Amino acid sequence: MSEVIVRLPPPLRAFADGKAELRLPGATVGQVLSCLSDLHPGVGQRLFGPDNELRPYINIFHGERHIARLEGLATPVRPGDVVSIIPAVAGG
Amino acid sequence: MNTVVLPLPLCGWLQQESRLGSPQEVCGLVLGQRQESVVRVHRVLAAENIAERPETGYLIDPEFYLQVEHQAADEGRSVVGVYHSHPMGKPVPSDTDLELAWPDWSYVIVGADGTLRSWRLVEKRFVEEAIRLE
Repeated sequence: MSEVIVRLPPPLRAFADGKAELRLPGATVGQVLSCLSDLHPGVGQRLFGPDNELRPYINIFHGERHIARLEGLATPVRPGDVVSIIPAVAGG
Repeated sequence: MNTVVLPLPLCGWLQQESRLGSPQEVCGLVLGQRQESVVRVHRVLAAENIAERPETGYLIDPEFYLQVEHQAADEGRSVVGVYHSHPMGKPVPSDTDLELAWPDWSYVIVGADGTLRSWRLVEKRFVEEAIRLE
């Protein structure tokens, strides 16, 4: 199992004891985020819907690349990789 | 009530940006520092509005957000909020703003008349923040 750096945006930090960054195990982006959800359910609720799919207004980056352009939640990660959670910034 | 401390030149810049961008909504990220109930704004960064209908909505490219967040972290700051304009309306949040808002951010809105107001999501509703110009 690798340990990956997960960066949280300011709006989600309140649900992770104020942390901006965590180091979590996992071999894929999905496994890392699942671990994050287990540790901090408040973050998990905002990442995943009832069907366990990523919510539409959440973007996940592996390094500088959106995981939608990689293998989605199955994107493999290595120790030291950075996974960033980016909220969709939108309104009307 | 929370307070957003906004440098006067940035206020003028936001009003000008909004005026020049009309009838489309303009948008961007607000960088600064939050200390308890006070948000001190250091910079605002304009973003391209990539919404399908920029006359009635805004959407910021997540890649742009990622770049800005890295930049802010390097400067010891963070993204403390978002600004956008309502070129045809008042500087109050729309239903879409409420639906898509995140907690702990200041949402600065520039109205059609150039008035600025700031809002924060608290338990699924917007609460107004005071804006103090310095």
